[in-house]
Amino acid sequence: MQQEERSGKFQTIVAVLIALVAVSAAVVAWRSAMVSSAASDAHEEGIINTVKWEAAATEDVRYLYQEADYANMYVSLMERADLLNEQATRFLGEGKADEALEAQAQALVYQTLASNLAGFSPMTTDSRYRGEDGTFNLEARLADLRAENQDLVDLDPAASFNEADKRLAESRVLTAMIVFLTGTLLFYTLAEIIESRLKYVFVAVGSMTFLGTLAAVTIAEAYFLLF
Amino acid sequence: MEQLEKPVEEKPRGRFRFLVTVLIILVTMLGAFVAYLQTDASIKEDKAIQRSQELSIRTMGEILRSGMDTSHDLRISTDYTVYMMESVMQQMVAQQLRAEGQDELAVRFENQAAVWEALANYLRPFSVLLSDPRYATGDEFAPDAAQYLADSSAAAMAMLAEQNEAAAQADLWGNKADLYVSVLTVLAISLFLYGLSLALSTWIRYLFALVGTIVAGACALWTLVILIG
Repeated sequence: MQQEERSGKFQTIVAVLIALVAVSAAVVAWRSAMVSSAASDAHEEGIINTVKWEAAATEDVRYLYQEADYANMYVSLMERADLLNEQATRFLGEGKADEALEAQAQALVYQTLASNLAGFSPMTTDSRYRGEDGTFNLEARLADLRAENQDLVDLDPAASFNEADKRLAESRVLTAMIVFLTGTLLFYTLAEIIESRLKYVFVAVGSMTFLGTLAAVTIAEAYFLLF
Repeated sequence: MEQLEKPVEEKPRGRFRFLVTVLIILVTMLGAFVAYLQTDASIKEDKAIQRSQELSIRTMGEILRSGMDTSHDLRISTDYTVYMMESVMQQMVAQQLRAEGQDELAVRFENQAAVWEALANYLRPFSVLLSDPRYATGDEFAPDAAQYLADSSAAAMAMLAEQNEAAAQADLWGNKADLYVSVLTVLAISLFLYGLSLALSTWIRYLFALVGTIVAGACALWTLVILIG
């Protein structure tokens, strides 16, 4: 009678332990789902930031070449004016006053056109944007254009993708822990249905697995929270 | 009466229940393991999709930007060609005028030709297509445009190849994840058969347990095939 009573108590304790494992598995599954959802959010944010970054980068390049077109037109007109002025000087030296005057007039037209274009891009006037050979330093101008949009410079899609990867890794670890909790259920169930003393061994092994899994879940969560 | 309450059949039935209970737990463990594999495959699919989406957006941006680079270079090259053609035409007219004895007019055209040529040469360093030795072949009107276009689109093409690879990976892991879901569905049938075998008391319970075990075994084998494949 006493043995039956003891057995009944044992079965009740094991049943409670089984219920605890089931609840723990449900909590871990819930947490895994939450983490997985956070990973999806981070991924979505990464994609949105990538679109923004690419759009901004492309717009900067488009604007750069718009400026470069004006700047090229400017240098082309200025060069034409210089060449005509050189010709005018030569004509004057040769005593061809009419030709010199015509060349100077043409040069003036081109100079005026060029000076009207100068305001369209700082590349026409700022020496920082000109190389030693007179060509434009487009990289320097692009860097300055990008720096003007600090919000877009600060966009970091890689950070969002790293966060998504981290969350997915966390979700994977938590799902793996559910397998161990199911293993715990096996040991507890065996303890529940076995009559021999072996049931105590199963309870012990099951409890170690259970506690070990809970510790692993806690460590994993702390790790993913801190790093 | 007490002896009748402990029938001889009880022990085999008790053993059967014990066996089926253990099998149920083992199948549950297999189910949990397959669920883990399914989650793992889904995670790998998600990561590959993420990479594929990111690369497709970046490829689009790269193609647009390299297109702008190319347009810019080609515009300067076109200007260069037009200026050189203008110079050549003016020189030809000047030669014609000299042949006709109109030297004064010919000089004016020669001067104009010199301006256009100088202007064209001034523009050369502004275009990669005309100044870079990789593309400036020596024939000033026919730079190596094919090589230039291949080089300017190389980064986008490399990204495209990477994006295709990521998309293929996403397909692969997506298919695996779907197959694991199928395994889990069939495993549920196995659990149902085990449960039914526990509820029945006739010989048919053995048949249910047997079929349940065969189904579970097939699922384990199927999982292995998916895992290896």
